[in-house]
Amino acid sequence: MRFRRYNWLDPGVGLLAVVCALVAIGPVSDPLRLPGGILLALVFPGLEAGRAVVPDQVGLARRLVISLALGLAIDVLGGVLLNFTPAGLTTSSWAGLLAILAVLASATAWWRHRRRARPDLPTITGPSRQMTLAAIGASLMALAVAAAVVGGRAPAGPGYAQLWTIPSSSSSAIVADIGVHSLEPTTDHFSVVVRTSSRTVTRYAFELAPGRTWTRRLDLPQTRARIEVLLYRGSVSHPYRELWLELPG
Amino acid sequence: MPGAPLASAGQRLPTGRWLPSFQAGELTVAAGVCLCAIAVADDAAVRGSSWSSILFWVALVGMFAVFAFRLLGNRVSRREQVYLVVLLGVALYLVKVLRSPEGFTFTDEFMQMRTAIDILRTGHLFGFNPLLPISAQYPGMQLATIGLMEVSGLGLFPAGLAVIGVGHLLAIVCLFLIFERVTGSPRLAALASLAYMANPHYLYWDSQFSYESFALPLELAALLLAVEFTSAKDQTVRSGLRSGTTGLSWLLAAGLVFIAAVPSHHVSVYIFLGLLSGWWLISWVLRRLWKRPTLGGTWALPAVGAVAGLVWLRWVAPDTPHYLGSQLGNAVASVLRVLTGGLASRHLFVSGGVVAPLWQRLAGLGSAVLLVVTLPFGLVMAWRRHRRNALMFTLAIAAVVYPATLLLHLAPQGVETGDRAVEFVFLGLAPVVALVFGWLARDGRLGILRRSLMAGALSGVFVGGAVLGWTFYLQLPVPPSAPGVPAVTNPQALAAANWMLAHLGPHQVVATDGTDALLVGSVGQQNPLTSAAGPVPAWPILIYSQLGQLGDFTLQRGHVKFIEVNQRLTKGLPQGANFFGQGAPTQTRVLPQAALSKFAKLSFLSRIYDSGNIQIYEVTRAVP
Repeated sequence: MRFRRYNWLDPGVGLLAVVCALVAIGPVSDPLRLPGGILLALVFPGLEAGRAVVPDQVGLARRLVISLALGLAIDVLGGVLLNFTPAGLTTSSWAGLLAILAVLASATAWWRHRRRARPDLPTITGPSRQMTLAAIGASLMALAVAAAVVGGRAPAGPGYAQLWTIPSSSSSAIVADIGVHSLEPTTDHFSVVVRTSSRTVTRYAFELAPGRTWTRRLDLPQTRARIEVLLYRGSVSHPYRELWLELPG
Repeated sequence: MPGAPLASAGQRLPTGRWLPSFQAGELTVAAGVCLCAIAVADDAAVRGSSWSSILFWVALVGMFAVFAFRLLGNRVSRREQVYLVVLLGVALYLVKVLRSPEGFTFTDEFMQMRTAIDILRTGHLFGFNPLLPISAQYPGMQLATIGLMEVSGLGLFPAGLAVIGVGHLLAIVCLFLIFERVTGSPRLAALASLAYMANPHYLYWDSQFSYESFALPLELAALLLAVEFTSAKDQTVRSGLRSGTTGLSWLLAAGLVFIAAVPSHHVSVYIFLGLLSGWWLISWVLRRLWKRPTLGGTWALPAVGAVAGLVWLRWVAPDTPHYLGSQLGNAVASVLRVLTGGLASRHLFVSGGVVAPLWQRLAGLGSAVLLVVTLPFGLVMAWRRHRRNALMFTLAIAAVVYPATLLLHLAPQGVETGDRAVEFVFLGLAPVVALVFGWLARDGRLGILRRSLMAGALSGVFVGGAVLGWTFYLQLPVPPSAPGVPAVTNPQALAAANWMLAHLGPHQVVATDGTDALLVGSVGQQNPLTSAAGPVPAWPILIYSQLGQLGDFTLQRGHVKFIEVNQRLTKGLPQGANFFGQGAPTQTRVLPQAALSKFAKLSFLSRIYDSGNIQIYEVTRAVP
């Protein structure tokens, strides 16, 4: 068999799919994982399956449809298949399945393409005014999305703080975890007061910067009682947040 | 290229001298500028600015209008037509991305998110989704998303955006190619694609992270591949040459893609099965009438789809008939009651007691009227030019359904069914409307005024569709501190959902309102008590000033462990009938403060979380 000019494409894609799968199951921090994963999940299996099933030249638009549609179909049907395997849907099983399918499809595509014309590849001509403008337009679109994502959407707002208490009991004691998380716009002075109906049990005073959390563990009485946990902010005498625990005793 | 040669396919035409040479490059810049303006408008809307709506609509309509103006021209190459249609489709998808750039914010997105989170957590399919139980039985979109997440390391939100974005791209290319085969003209195909983008669901509904948004592109791809198969067959008959393997290859690909749509969504698969079967049946009838119809349907694809659908229904998704039956039954009953005078018709353009702005009402009505008026002319043209074309015949029949979907909007419970049908009806309506617009713009030296008027009319149809498709006060992002209604984007509610997962663990039964249930059930991974999935709905606990016997019963029967209350419920009226979902009484007055403060007096409840607007109570003892 004579080696033709475009016969590199299918074996090359199959090989790249294996490399992408190895990257996917490798260290999470690998910078190649994102582009490799996108190619492995959305491009390679569909592209090669499409070239295997419809080997003729069909034009770029139709080639795009076949590749994308078969790529998504492989993800869905492959996922259903993986669900019934003992491994289930894990990183390794996904990477392995997609790589195997891409390699099988690329081998089939290579076999079916061995006597055919060049693949449907976009014709890239030299830079022109239209292409430059298109690149500027695409950059503006990317800028709009990036500005919305990076710039953040939620305005600062009035700010708030979370107060919680979670009781837990063991055979020897009842304890409560008390926590305060500040999402106020500035660093604030807080105090937490724990009291029963008749007296103040304890009081904590502290400062919290925005985004910081304060926690304490507190022993509770093993009798039937109502424990109140009050959060005060700054010098305001009225409780800012108010919780209570009904202890069964 | 297999199949019938297409008029001007691949042709490069010079730009007219009598018009400014706005081509693909300039229009890409225009789309970029318009998207930047929309990003600014969305940001301003979050900050409560009054001018944001004007900027948003001017930019959106402006973007559509310049594309329509260019595509109405006669001297545009096929390559540019494909490029412009695809670019506009992608740009309209980005409008949705810009609306919610930091996370999912649409109701259905939270429901689908829960299915994805459960699959990620367990590594297996078919868990329990308390927000939308049927979603767990159709996990196709989640599988594609999770596959991408696992191998790329992307998070759920960016992976979901990527998968739906790929689907959106796939859909628009498919639409252009289907319409091109049907009409035999890339120019009419471009106009039909524009008309399809005017369907009320195109801008937001079909762009959201939801199973229908994912399944529709697969179904369109299957239809296109079937069209290519039949087109290759027609070519073989015309040329008298032996059919190669390519025809069957198209059919094989179509079958594979359609089978993948089956685990992705229920109703759209059944509608496409009906469309494919109808296409085959019409081809059979036309063969009797005219011997040799073009683009005849095949029995093989609907047969494969039907078998796959039945297998999935029998062994994986047995709840589907009940789910769909109740929705369809309610819609039919509602329409019949309106027709017989037993039920007052629905007030159009009113939501949560608030009436849409006048211009939106006019645009919505004008768009529907224009389409209804255009329809008969388009049908006559379809009959005259394409009556031997079996697929055009089928699509024209689908187009006739359009006025009926409008009538469904008058019935209180028919509106959802009418809304859900539009993206399928527009598959037929779009080429029929395009025939009329193509005929009106048939003059090779179309005057700039006439072309502008026609671009304006198409843009008007688009705007009308866009305002009909989404509640008017949710078309732009809502400020988190907007008075009254609770919003899923409320930072306090989101923080409470995150806190629940971190401190209480997943799968606790929580009673809360419908909007907060979305966050609690998805981000918080809890099991909110809902009318869709719980043994009892949560509303009797929350709606009255006293807990009462019904509230006690609900707490016990629902095995409620936590109650989450949102003080914002007492500060305004709900967007829909009530805050609590199906079955709850219609709220005509603001919820009294006592409905939420009553929990402070109950000795079997402990308040364990307070962030100002949100309080969480734990049921610490049995209800006395």
